[in-house]
Amino acid sequence: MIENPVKVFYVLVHAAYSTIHYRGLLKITEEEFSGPPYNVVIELFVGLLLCFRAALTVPGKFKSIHPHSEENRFVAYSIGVDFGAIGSAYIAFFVNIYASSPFLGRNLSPGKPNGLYGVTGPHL
Amino acid sequence: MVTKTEETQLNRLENQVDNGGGGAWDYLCLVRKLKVRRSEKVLKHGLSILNDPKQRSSLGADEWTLYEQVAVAAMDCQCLDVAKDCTKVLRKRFPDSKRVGRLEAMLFEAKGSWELAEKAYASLLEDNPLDQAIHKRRVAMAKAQGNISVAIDWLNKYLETFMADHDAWRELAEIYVSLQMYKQAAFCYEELILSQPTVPLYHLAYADVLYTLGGLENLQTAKKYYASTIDLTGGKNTRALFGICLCASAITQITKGKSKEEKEGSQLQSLAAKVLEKDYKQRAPDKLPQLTTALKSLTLSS
Repeated sequence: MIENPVKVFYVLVHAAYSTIHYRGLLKITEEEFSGPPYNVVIELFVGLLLCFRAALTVPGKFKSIHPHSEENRFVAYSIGVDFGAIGSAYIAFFVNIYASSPFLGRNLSPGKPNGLYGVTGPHL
Repeated sequence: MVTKTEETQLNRLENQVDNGGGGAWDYLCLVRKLKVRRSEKVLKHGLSILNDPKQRSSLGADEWTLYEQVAVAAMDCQCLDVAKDCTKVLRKRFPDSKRVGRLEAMLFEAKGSWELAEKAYASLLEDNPLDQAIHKRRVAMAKAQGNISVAIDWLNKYLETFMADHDAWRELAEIYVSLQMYKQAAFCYEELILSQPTVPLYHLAYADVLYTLGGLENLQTAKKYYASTIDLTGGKNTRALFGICLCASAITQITKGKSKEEKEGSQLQSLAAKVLEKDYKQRAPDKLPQLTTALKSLTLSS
């Protein structure tokens, strides 16, 4: 199957060559050139379709634009060490803040145990 | 922000590395990229790379990034000797670097010598007043010492200059929530939703805050935000589904007698309850009875 865009390009080149050839023939028979013959038009159309197909399939899969798709759905905050206190002091504080907070750090997903260190925030 | 695909990839790599399947460097790169906090594992696997001269030299210039990453992780795990060694190596390679200066200041911080750390940060800020990382460290330090109000002041000042820093807004919101200052927290979450409207976590957190604040108007808004979370996550967020049920029941309690939007509301809550039941049936069948009793107590069970 022709999938490579370069190969599809041959079809278009062939259509162009056929048209030039046809014009040469018309010169010999001394007729007016009003447009390319039907088979060349069809060839062009087929080439166009194949180009479309190649352009859509060769570069790879499209990325999803839906916010709820796996690639776009954010499930956790990135909690680096930017704002985290370094070392053991951090843990002490973290337990404090999470214990005193009414809803942060609790994992409400079914089938999973509740975690005190909801370091990645509420799970989705 | 970590997406579902990235989370799966991270967990897979972590499993692989933990079981000795290789790919430690890829794992460390991913941890760095996603900015997640896995200090213990970074320290373990990072050190194993650094201790192997062959692997280390194959990294090329990335070697120094790894030194920095391991140093921070070591400080976080209180392995101060390792952190010191890494910082020394970096200082030798980059004698005038401010970035290494920051690491040295963080080392003071890890030791708990707050005054020394504060001085070091102040002098670094004098050279470059727009260094975001150092401003953040100051906030973290105030927080670690328990001076939450000072941390809030620093953060507010920081946000006046760097308004587009989402992490800082979220940090401020979480601090406000921890102090039960929900109105202020709500404001921060509003900012976050405005700047990143497609992140369901912010919608969810905002709805949580509004629900906690209470009152008919807030509850109705909270329900809307829970609904938008469901919309953005394709119904995969259990917390938002519970939120809808709780909001709906609280709203019916308040508006007993005056039935205005009853129809639409009841449809939403029964749908949420149905999805919850289905979800529990699939993922945790043994907890289903608990769920049904809970939903019944909210008079929501279908």
